[in-house]
Amino acid sequence: MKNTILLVEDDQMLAEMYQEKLNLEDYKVMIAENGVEAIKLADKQPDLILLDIMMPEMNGFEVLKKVKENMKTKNIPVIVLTNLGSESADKDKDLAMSLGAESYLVKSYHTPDEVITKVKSILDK
Amino acid sequence: MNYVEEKLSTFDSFPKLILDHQNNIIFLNAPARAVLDLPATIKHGDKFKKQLIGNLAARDIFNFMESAKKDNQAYCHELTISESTYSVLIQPFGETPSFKGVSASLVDISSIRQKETENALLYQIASTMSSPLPIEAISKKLLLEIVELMGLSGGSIMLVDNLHGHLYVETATDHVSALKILDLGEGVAGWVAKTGQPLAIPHTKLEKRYRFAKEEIDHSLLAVPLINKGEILGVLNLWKQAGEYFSEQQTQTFTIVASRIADVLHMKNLNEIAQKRLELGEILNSSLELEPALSRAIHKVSDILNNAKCSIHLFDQSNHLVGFVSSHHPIKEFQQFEQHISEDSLKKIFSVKNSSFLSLDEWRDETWSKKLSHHLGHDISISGLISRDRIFGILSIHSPKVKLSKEKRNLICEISSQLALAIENGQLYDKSRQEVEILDSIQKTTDQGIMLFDHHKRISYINQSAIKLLRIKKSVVGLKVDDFINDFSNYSRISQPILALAEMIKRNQKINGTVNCDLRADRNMVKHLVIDIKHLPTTSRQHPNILVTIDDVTDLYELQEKVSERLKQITKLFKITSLRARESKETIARIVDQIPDLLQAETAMFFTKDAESEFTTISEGKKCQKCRNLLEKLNQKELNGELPRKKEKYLFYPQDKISLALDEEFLPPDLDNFIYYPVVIDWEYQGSLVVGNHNNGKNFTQEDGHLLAIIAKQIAAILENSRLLDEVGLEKERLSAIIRHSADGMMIVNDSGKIVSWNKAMEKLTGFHNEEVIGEDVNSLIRLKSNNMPFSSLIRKASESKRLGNISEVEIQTKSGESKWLDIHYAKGAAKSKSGGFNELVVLFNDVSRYKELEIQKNEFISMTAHELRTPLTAIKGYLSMIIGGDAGPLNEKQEKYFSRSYKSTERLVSLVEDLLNLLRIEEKRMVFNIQRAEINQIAKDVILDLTQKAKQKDINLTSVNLKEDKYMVAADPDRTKQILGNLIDNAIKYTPRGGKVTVKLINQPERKRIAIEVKDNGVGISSEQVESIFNKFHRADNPLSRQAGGYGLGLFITKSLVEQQGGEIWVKSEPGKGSTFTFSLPWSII
Repeated sequence: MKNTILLVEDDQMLAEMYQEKLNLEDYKVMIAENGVEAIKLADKQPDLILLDIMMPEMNGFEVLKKVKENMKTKNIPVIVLTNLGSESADKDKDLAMSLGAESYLVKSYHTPDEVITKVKSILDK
Repeated sequence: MNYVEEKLSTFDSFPKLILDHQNNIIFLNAPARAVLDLPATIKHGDKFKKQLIGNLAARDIFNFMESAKKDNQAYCHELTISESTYSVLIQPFGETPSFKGVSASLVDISSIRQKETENALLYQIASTMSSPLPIEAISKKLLLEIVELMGLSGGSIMLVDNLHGHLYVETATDHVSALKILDLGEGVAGWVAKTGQPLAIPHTKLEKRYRFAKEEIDHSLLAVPLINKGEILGVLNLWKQAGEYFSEQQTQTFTIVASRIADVLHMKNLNEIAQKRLELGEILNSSLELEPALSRAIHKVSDILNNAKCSIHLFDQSNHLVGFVSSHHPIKEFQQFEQHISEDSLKKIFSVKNSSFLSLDEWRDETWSKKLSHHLGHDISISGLISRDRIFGILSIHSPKVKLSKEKRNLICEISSQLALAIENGQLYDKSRQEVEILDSIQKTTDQGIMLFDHHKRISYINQSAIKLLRIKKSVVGLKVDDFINDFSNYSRISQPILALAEMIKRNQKINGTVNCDLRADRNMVKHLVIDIKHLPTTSRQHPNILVTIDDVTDLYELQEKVSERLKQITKLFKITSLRARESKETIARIVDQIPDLLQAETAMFFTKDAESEFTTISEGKKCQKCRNLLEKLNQKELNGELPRKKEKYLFYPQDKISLALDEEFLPPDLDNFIYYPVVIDWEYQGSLVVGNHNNGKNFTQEDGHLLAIIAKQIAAILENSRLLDEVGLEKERLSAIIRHSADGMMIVNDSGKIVSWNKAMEKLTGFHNEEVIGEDVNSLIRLKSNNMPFSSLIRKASESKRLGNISEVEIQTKSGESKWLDIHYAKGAAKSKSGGFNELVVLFNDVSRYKELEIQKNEFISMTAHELRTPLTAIKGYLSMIIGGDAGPLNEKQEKYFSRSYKSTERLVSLVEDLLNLLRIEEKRMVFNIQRAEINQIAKDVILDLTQKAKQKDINLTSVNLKEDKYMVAADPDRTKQILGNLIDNAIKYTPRGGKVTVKLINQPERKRIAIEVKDNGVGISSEQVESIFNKFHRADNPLSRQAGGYGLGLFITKSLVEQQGGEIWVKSEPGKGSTFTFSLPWSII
């Protein structure tokens, strides 16, 4: 059975890139362009959420908080995929991890391949 | 029990009872118990009563004993007790009523009752014994009666001489025969005395044994021992015509007779001993000194013990022999005693044997006895002289051949106690007499007067010093206090102390008191006496009970007065030197005003130059025109250099008259003396101080000169201070003008954090005005916005290490709430306060808000740009990776090469953006460190693994030295540490040519509790000038490879920041062309 990934990304170019890559790897992808949409789609119980932070309307931290507060969605693993902060000890990363993110990836550090590897490793758990 | 003792006891088998004067039992033997039927429980020392006698027929014995004691006469009665007839001999002993005892001895005469002659003999013996004749006479009388009554041809009584251990003839009807008997072989009598058995001769066995020649004895002989209570006192010898023999029956009869005689001898002995003991007591109680008394006593002791050789050894408490007396010429062994015996060892022996009497012979198997008898022989008995558990010495008795009976032993023990008591008392007496002598010599030689009064308040003693001190004219000893008071002028030249003393004695003040008396001895001399009265704790009314000591304390008193006078002067001086007035001239005037009082001078004057350098008097303690003229003259001389310079500076008149070289006309006629003191500052004459006296009788002393010198120095100091103050005032005005108009904010804070000074610029900076801040707390005025600590703490912390320093970019809030960025410069005042801090802190403020604003804008711009750059870069990098990864279909060789290069450049671009962001984080102090316990070995391994590929591509040998050895734990952020090490290794690879070598090594630094990580390459190296700036922002080493290697040079700056923010250090050593070694250290993990 195909795993469904919710990709929360406001940059259209990047959203398309990750979607394409995820499709290539046989994942079903839902895309949310902002936080509000992300909350709605999270209700549909994706297997994993790739979450951007800097977004209009509602930022990624708020989305993460809401997802983790909701009994229905709180068990969905969330990978924060952002260009904010750093993967070393960093207050943005610390905040995300404390809110319940599974992992914190800085987009520019990683190729889509590496992102998929991370997704796979989490889904395999 | 040996053979002899066994035999002796059989001869002691006649019933016998002895009571002392209180009817306590002294002696009671088993036969007596049986005959009298006494209870089994009764024992020696118990009180004897008539009722105790169970056999009613025997109760009369007690009545006989009572009357014998009362009449002081011996009785002999016949009593029939239990079908046996006894001859009862009752005999008193002892001379005094308090030493009056009585003995009763019974002999069963049932078997010889019929024999009238023997009965008559026994009766005769009893009546003879009660006669008051001396023992020799009684013996003789007895012997004659026996010989006559029994029809014998002769007889003798021989007694044992304890001294020589042989027998001597006490009395005999025929002395020739008596001596013959004694001389036969070892002597028939000797054998009897030794064995205690009667002997009748001729006797076949004995004849053989002693080779008695029949012809040598022309009589037949019977020798019977005289035994009393086990002690052989002598032998009764009786002889008949040759051819007649003593029958068995006769032997038995004479044994009874002998026992009677022994009784008599014994009783007589007891009487004599009692008498001699009384004499011994007299000797010991005499007022003789101890040694002579003992020396006489030992002869008496010997006398009591039948002339036995006796000696006494005296020990002191350390067991040293301190005295030795002997009744006869000292036996040399006695004198070796001290080396072999000590009080302790004696005590031990006495206590082990549970007796203070020891016969060496009896204990001959014991070690101590062997040791002693080795030196003393076996014939010695020793008895401890013990009183109250202390052994004062021993009494040794030499008794060869004769064994000491139990009674003798008891006697010896009693004598020993008597001696010990006497010795103890004697020693105490000697000691107290010694003390008295010492006391006496002290009283004679001391300066202290001593008087003693007795219970009747009579003077019982007065020493020479007391006589001298109280000026006693004639003897006062024995005088009553009342008489002394009433007629004191008759006895002494002075009244006051005597009356005071007498009054105290008279009032019988129980408290120990002291009287201080001023005694006007002569017109010009006052004596001070301290009289001390003490009540002595005496019980006897003959002893003095009041001790008076008299001390002359005149010297002390005078010294005290001198000291207090000096103290007063010093107090005045202190007051003078602490005088202050607003103007220095006024201060000096006040000081000079006080000088006459201090030095008891009539005038004092200070003369100095005024503003026009004209000398004028600025103060005059007491007006004196003449002195003024004199001073002007001296001043002139001083200015002309005519006055000599002495070490003390001051000059006395008239002592220094010649030095002063004054014309007579200048000398005021009524000026007796004066002191002149020039005041000099830095070799420059400032004026002079003069004190003078007209004719008040006072002459100035050297001490007055010293005091004046102190005041003059004080005046000099005041003048100097006033000059300095003028200078400082000018300088201060200049400074305050600068401060007032400075564009920078400037304030001064004191030790307790209060504002002391606040300039115009500060008002502009903070919005607080000068008037509202002075004396206020600095923290309420300079309010820090971001920092947790208050301003005062911040600045104090900074100034702890540096006296001068600065703190940059501190954000504060002004009075109106506006935010301002300030650079702070501080300087600590030099004067240290009591608490160890600095009195004042000068703080300068630069307003850098404008620059800060610009910097924030710049940083925000860079941050935004960098973040904005990340997104397109992500897309470029992402798509390129997908293309290279074949997501868009297969690539040809060239396409792959070109896309790969594009990808690499994009990666570099990403890392440049990262560097920029890190730089901003560092500058804004936003970087977060997750410090934890981390294994540095593992971190290094990971980093090396990551970079191995890169090194290989450049053909560089990347190795580690000791990562697999000891594991080291550091307190660090593992990610940041990886970043640091990664940067250093990356740089090393970058700046090392192909085929080079990069080595990583861990170094433990236990003394600094750090781990150092060293990255060494053999690359291009860095020049020494560049080493200094290599960790600066935007630096890049200027070398041929630089351009080729590329980079902003942000790497090392970021690395250094990362190291330092984790509490580490980083440094580099390098030699151009040979390579570089970068080392950073991190603290040990202590978790």
